[in-house]
Amino acid sequence: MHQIWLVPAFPLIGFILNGLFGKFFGKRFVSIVGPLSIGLAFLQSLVLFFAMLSTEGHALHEQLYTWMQSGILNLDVGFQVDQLSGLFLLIITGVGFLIHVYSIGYMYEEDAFYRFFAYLNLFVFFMLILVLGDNFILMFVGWEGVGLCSYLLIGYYFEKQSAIDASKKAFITNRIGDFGFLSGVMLIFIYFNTLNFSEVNSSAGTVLENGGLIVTLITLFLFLGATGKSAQIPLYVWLPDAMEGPTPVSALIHAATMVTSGLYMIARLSHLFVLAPITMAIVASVGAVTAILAATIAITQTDIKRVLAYSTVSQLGYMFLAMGVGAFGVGIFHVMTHAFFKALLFLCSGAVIYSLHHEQDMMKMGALRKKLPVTFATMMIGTIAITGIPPFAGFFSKDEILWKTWSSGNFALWFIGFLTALLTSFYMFRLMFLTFYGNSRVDPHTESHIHESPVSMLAPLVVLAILSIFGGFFGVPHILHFLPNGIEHYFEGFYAEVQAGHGTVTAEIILMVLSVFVAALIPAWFAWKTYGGKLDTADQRKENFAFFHNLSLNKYYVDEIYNGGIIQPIKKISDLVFWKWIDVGVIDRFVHLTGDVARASGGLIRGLQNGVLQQYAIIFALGTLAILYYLVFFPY
Amino acid sequence: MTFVTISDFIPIVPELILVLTALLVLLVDLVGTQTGYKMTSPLLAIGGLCVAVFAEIQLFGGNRVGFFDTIVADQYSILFEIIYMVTGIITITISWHYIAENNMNFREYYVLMLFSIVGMMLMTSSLDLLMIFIGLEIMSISSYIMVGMMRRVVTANEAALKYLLLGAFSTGFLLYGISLIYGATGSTQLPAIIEHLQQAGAFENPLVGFGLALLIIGVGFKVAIVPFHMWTPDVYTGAPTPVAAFMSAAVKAAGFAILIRIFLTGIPHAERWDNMMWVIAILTMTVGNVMALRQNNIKRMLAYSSIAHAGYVMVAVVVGSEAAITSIIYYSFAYALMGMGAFGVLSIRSNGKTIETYEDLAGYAHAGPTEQVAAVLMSTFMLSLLGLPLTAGFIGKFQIFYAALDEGWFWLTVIAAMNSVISLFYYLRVIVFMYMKERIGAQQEKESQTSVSSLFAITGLLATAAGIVYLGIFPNDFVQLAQLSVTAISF
Amino acid sequence: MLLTFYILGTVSVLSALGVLVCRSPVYSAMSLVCSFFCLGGIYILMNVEFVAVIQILVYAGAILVLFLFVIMLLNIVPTGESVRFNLPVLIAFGIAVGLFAQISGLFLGDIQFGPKDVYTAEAISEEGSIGLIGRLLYGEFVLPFEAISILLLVAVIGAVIIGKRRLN
Repeated sequence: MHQIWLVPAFPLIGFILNGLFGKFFGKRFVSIVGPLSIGLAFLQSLVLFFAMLSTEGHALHEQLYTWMQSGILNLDVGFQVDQLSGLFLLIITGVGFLIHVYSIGYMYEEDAFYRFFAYLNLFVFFMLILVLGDNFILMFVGWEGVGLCSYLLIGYYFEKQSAIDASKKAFITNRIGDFGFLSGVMLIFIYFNTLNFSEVNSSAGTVLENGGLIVTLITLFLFLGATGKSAQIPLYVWLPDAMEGPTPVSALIHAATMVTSGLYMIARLSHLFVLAPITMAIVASVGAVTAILAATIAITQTDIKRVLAYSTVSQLGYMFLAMGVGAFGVGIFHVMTHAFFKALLFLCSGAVIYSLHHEQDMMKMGALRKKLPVTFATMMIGTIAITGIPPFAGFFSKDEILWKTWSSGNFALWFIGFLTALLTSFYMFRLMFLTFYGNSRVDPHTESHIHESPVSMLAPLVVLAILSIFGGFFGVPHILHFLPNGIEHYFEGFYAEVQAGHGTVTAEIILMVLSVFVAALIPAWFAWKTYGGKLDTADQRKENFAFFHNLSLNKYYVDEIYNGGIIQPIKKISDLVFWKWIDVGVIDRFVHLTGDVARASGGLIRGLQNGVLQQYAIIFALGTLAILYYLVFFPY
Repeated sequence: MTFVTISDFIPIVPELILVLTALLVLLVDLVGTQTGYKMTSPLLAIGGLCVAVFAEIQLFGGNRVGFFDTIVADQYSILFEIIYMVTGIITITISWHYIAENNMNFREYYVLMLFSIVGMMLMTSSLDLLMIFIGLEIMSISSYIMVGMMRRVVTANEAALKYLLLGAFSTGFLLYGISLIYGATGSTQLPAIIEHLQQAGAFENPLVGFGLALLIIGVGFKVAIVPFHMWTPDVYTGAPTPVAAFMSAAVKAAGFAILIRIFLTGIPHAERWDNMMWVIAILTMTVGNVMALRQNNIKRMLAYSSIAHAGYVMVAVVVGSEAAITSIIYYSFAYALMGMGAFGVLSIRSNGKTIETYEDLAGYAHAGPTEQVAAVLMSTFMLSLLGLPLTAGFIGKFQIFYAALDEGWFWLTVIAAMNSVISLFYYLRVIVFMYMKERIGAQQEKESQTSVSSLFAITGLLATAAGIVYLGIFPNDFVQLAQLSVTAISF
Repeated sequence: MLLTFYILGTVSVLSALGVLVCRSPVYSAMSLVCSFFCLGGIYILMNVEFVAVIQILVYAGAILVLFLFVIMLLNIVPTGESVRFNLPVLIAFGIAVGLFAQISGLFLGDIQFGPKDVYTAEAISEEGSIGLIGRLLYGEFVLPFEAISILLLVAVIGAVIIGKRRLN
């Protein structure tokens, strides 16, 4: 026994302690229990990780108890740690621990401090269930649980209407995704008669026809689920709004962990997905289009967290692109590096926001590098990492994705990815320059109070910065022979094989150089020119490209289109049919009538004579009539 | 001519215990009007129920029969009877507070509740349509009276009268159905009826279809399936809240117990029959959910939601396999717990106010210590009702969908799943209002006080919530029991 | 025999209609009595004298007297309103006709009755329906018979609760 259950047990205990006693034992208690529970989970994850590596077959499996045993269904609650979930375990507990530590400082002033930590611990618990579960049911438990926690945490500042709206939006969009996920799972059950991952994966090739309709349908449904959780077109709209939640939440849930669960699911079922080339193509295309769409929106946003949110959507798009071209391992590699640098960026932005007393508008920042040196340095590292400048973490994973796309022959997708990289570099350096360089546009009143964040917040930044620098060496590309490619070796034999791409070493080197210089450095320089000093040039450019600027600033009006094209019509119909017609027209009228008549005559019997009761009886009798007619007299 | 012997009474020992308890409560009420403390009746009733549960457990596995093979104490009836009694115990814990707060000071309340449970138990353990009918009537008449107990409240009176009249209406159909079945088969005993109906060509006799249809209408009224559901919202809203809880939990469970006993244990189903039930299931789910979406009164919302849940169970009735029956039993229990819990929280007064609409719930979670606990409980019940994992509601839905898929009912399952998505909105609204809305006029309110009676209710509800979570995480024990009981009724 | 049945049946249906149509509650009640008497007659035609007697004793005797008492005590006067034939009433009427058509359709169809067991007309006339019913009530159906006592007790409690004057 490897005691896998201990990993989720620690956060669960943390949740119970914080939720039940946090209010009474005070903030000190909460700020010990919260991070400690995740820290312990991290230690146990490390133990499991190395145990897993040294095991034959790289998989630990543990059965907890029989969940349900009935004639048609035998399901055990079982956890498994293999290459995929082992890596996720480390990311979730490791990054989660850092973010918990950070939250102590960031959230200390909040009244409902205990509630925040309780939710956060609960989230980690569900996330761990999601990745540890060895069957769809446990995954679904985690899937729903993280959704719930995300919903609760987005709406954490429930005094703000915008936060409530955002949390609702997140939940509703996710429900659409969940519906897809569930449909997929139901179909899988119908065809496989099992809900166990390893059984589904191993028998996928024999049960379902390669490229057949069923497997395409199943994987498309599952992918719909993934687009909901992982914020891809068409369901990405909730993620930018989710920034209404506290910044540590954005870092943990909406950058590093929960939003990657869609990718986790696809990676987990790689053997199923490779059977459906159509789905794979769709996954890749949706990923690429999401990546570039979100990147173009990020360019014009002025809210620092929104830029990062769109950047997250865009990076997730990259990961889906990798999945779609069959480079599952590379996609997961990017999940890891992205977890490092995006968590770092979010936490840094949080530190900036914290220092400026909750100012998120970059137009009201500037020239902060002297005042917030540690935040600046770490955020710069994060930015360099995400833009893909070697040897920082992002370079290796992103470059590998682009190379896999190219070598699989999808040149158009490669080009989109390349453009996205270019835009990424631009908007990230724009963010840096607007925040830390140029003239100070900070409100004079706040300016005097600017101070660097407490150590509890800075320490996680430094750790994440180090990870963002060195995390990429886990997967050095082949052509740089001086180090072995860890990630490929690590995932050896885990994923379904896709036909190997053809590409020459020369091409890979050319592309790499191209992406470093054209896609990373030149846009950075351009951003410097535009935003490094005064913002005159920026305003000039804004006017020159007013149309595109507005389009991007307003996020292509997608929210408006969804609202006008889908939500409002549904509302109208339901208002018209169910509310106006049935409810108001029939029921309300009668109910009011009851009240009026009863009051007027002061008698109960009179009140009953107005027809409600008779109406109920009529419907009853009508139902009887219909049933009898159908059952007895309807001709065969 | 044969006579009844003492061994005939063994299968109905729990019923006898409850009847005696009820009579005792009635007498204590007479003797101790002045001196009797308010707690005697509820405690006595709970005590009686506990003894009866104990007796049931002793009977478990014995498969005893009595009264000329018309009464059986098989695993099936025992499991359901325990469900009724557990429901009764929890209802009593929440009733005391409600009765004290609303001056509904009839101690006959507990007597009626016990008799109502006796009725349910008799009809569940009976194999004779006549006995089933009488049990059903004992249950119904008790509940008519309980609904109308708050005589000074107009809505309660109206609810009771509506329930009574429509109930009588449906009883007519039921009785007519029974007489037609008797005419067609020459017996009122289920085994004989089923044996007759299993003969080839039995269904070509129109009497059979007609009679069975009327039976389903009569029982369908009790479990509130569309289109026989119209009374539910009015009655649940007007009735005292614990009574609504009791009705949505126990009465429905009893209705489904009968439905299974009559329709799913050997009567061969024509395709036409399946088609009709299929439509009814979908209608029931959809109407319940869509109407619940539009309610502002929470009790009304819960009433419609209980219709929707009846719809989910109807899905399993349509499927009719052994796994489906297992899931019905599981769902009946799960729904009994969560529905009762939700009504139970509403029965607790907050700051001297009764919670009626969503607005009354605004800021509920921050109103005081009692409310804080109650809000957590309510959230648990809501999450379970919407079927979130780790709760009994999830397992229940999961089993039903699973059973349906196993028999190839794909689209029915999809519609049910879509319905459960709709349900999310109105259940979550409760949580949103409790936690995320500001309390209106919080300044004017007095500091909320925790009464002993409300603590009593909270304790009962805590047990309910614990049960829901337990059933959600470790469902297997109960599933095994349910399976055992299904094998008991398979002819 | 058949003629008697038809006469009784027609009168019974007509007087049942009278219950609905009569404006005066007293007339309605009296029509009900008439209908019950006819039903009693039909029971006699079916060789179930005991049920016939009970029908008349209980319904015509006890319940109807109670009705008349209530009418008298509440002093319900005719309101002068007759049944109005508005839309809901017409719909209800339509449905009632539909149900009636279904039920008649049922009995016009190809129906078979189940085995009558030992309770044939000869057996009944031999032993008398009272004896048979008594044996059944205290034999095979003793439990339902006893259970009815619970039902009655519940009903009595209900009546007490509704009628109770003081409410605390």
